[in-house]
Amino acid sequence: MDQPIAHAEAAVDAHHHEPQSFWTKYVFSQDHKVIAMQYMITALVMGFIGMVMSWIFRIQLAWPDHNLPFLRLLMPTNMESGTLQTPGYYMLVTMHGTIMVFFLLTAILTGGFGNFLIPLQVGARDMAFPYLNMLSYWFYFLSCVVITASLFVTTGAASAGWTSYPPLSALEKATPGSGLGQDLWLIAIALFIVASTMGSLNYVTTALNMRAKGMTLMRMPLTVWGIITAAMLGLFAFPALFAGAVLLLLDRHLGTSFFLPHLVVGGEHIVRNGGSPLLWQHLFWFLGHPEVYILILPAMGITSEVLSNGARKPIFGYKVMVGSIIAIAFLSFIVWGHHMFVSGMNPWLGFAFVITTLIIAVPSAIKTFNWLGTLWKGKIRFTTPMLFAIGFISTFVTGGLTGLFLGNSALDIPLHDTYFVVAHFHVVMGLSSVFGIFAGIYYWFPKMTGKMMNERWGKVHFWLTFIGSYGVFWTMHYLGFMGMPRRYYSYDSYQFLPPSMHTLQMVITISALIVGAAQLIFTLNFLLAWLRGKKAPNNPWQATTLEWQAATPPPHGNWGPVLPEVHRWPYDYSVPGASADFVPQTVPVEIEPSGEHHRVAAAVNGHGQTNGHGNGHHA
Amino acid sequence: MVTTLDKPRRRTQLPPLPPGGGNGWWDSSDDPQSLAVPSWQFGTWLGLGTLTVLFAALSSAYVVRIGGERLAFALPTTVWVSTVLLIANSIALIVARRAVERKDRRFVGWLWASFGVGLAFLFSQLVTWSVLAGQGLFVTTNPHSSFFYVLTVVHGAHVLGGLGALLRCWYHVRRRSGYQRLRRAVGMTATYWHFVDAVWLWIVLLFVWTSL
Ligand code: HEM
Ligand SMILES: [Cu+2]
Repeated sequence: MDQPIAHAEAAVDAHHHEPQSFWTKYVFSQDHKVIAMQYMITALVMGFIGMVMSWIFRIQLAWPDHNLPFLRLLMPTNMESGTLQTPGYYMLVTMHGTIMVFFLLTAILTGGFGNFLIPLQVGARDMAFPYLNMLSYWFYFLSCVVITASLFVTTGAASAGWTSYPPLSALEKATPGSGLGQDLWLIAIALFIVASTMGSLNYVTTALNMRAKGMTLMRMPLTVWGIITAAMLGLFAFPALFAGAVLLLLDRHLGTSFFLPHLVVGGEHIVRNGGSPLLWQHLFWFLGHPEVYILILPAMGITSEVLSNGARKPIFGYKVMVGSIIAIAFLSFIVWGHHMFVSGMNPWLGFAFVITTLIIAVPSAIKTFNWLGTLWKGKIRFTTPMLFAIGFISTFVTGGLTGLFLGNSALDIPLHDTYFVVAHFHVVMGLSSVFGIFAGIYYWFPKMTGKMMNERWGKVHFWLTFIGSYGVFWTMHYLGFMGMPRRYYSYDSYQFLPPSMHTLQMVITISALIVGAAQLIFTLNFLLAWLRGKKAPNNPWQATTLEWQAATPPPHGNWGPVLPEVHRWPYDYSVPGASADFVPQTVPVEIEPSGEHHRVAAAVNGHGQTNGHGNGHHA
Repeated sequence: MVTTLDKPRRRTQLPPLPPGGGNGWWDSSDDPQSLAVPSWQFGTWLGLGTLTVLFAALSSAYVVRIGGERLAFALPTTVWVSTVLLIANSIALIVARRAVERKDRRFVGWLWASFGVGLAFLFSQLVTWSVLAGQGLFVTTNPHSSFFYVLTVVHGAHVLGGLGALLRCWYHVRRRSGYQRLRRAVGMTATYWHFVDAVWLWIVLLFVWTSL
């Protein structure tokens, strides 16, 4: 009714109420774009820490007990002699996994990309709950502080693995890291869950409730679909781990027996009764499996977006893509048992989990088919983001295939807890998400900062990362087949492990160091581009989605006086008869034809009500 | 006496909310491309969905952990007092919310009633815990008592949150934050409390069931 005026006035307000002070603008900001950058930078710093950890334990595996004086500087408590001691090794692998999965990947994909892209891609001025959004970042920041601080406590950081299985994680005397370090681990995870929940409430609500006029659900870019589905997974899976963390803290400090049975440790009786370590595994994996999809779904979304743009073709099978995302999300809640095939579960139950697990391969394969269909006969532009997107498809296929091996309990029983599993999940989750993230960073960096990253160094970064990563993880599959158990600090005193294994370990470590060097190139490129990169044009990739219609970088409130209006789906590339090979979503169908054939009619009759603001950029 | 609150100001006259208001100038929820419910309501439901999983996880951990073993102690009678209190709380909030919708000033009284009942509930819980402790039942005694304490304490923390939400409504009344804000605050608070009350009923049901 009085909406047209309302919007016009609101827009004027936008200019009056921009936060002014340094603190409200950059620190306790409620602007989704600033929060996105905060999340992204913090996550990248955490990722860097996680990566350095992996170098150290990789050196131990390739050159066992080699004396590395510089380690003493890094970790005085666990490396007095300059060689990595066993507790230090366990600490590092635990913290590496935890930091990478939660504090890097989850944070950057939902907190970073989710924050930046959702309001911009659906045509909103900000998130639905900006204050909550700010809190989300600061809780995340706090959780990062706690987990980092735990590295410096005298007994060392948590060392029971990123899965923190009891009794290792429940008994103080189990490992040195099971002291204060483990408590801080649990607290950090609980804080992280609170942060992630506040963020996810925002992402889902904003995408569902604050879309610009004409932005129907079926016109949302696949990035938005991927991220909000991941956010839903977070909302409904994380509480299980939260519950587990609470119970584990009680087992550790109040003497309850949730996860601890009666045990004899070092000849000493532990007075607990009847608890079940498997209960933790169920709670953990009820989150843990959806968690891996929290990481892959946004990366899939980014890949779809970048592929379609780089191939100058509409995404193949958009509706099916959306359907697959939803199907994967739903299925991911009923497969957690595949992490527990060797836990002595009833074989019939195992059988049920085999079936649900293998069914997930179907929507995954459909998505892969559609990506290839998108590339097929495209006029591909091999830009850096495009290379990373193609890299994503490669690693997702490789890692998905090994998932099929593991999904069969008969094969999983020998392969469980070997390097084969390590290889599987690093390729499918680690590499794929990282490739999606890099594709996203190179692609949206111009919009975020107003600068272009260097393409040549971007390509060097890609090829070194791509080849180096296969050097690391392809090799690990062989170690797995040979029976190399995961989480072994030293492997030279076991009869069943042939000495040739050592060569493979060296190949892996050298590759890992090359990949590490490549990330330094990326860091430099990122920083230099931000400081004094070439100025970015408004729409450097000639893309169709809404964010490219906003100013660069977008101002507070994103759209200036007039909200954008959407007239077509996000994938109008190379539409026959159009004047350019891309048509932005804001261009009316009367002006340029649309490839969204079957939906044109619906768009025209809309929902009645017009609210008076045409599109501000293409009229 | 029925006094009418300030009339809802027309949207065009709304002063720009300070950032963080939820439905600020950027909210396009009146636009055609959105859900039938306002963002704050949808967000509240979604958040309650998350809490549902939290209690579901704890409850199923309980069921799994006891493996069919029956509850070994009688629930103190104060549990039933607590139950009645929380039912009364929900009723008070239903009335309060209706009053707000009618712009009937008396809603403030009902909010205080709800607050009082909530406090009484916490007191009743303290009694329950001390009765159990008096019988030698502590959080470590057996899986039933462990989970009883865990579930009721986690629930109690949410009751505290509900009391905080009521104070926030009261703050909006004092600050004269405007009708829409107040309506939103009361709506959110009521929805949240109904959930907390329902969780309590669920917890009681769970323990009644394991004692059968
Ligand atoms: C076709 C699809 C997939 C199947 C059938 C599958 C199957 C499995 C199975 C059975 C395991 C347990 C192996 C063991 O511990 O013995 C496993 C581990 C794992 N998978 Fe997958 N997977 C698939 C895709 C994925 C995807 C897409 C991701 C992540 C984005 C992922 C991440 C992981 C992780 C993180 C682990 C190991 C966690 C650990 O033990 O530390 N998987 N997978
Ligand atoms: Cu899994």
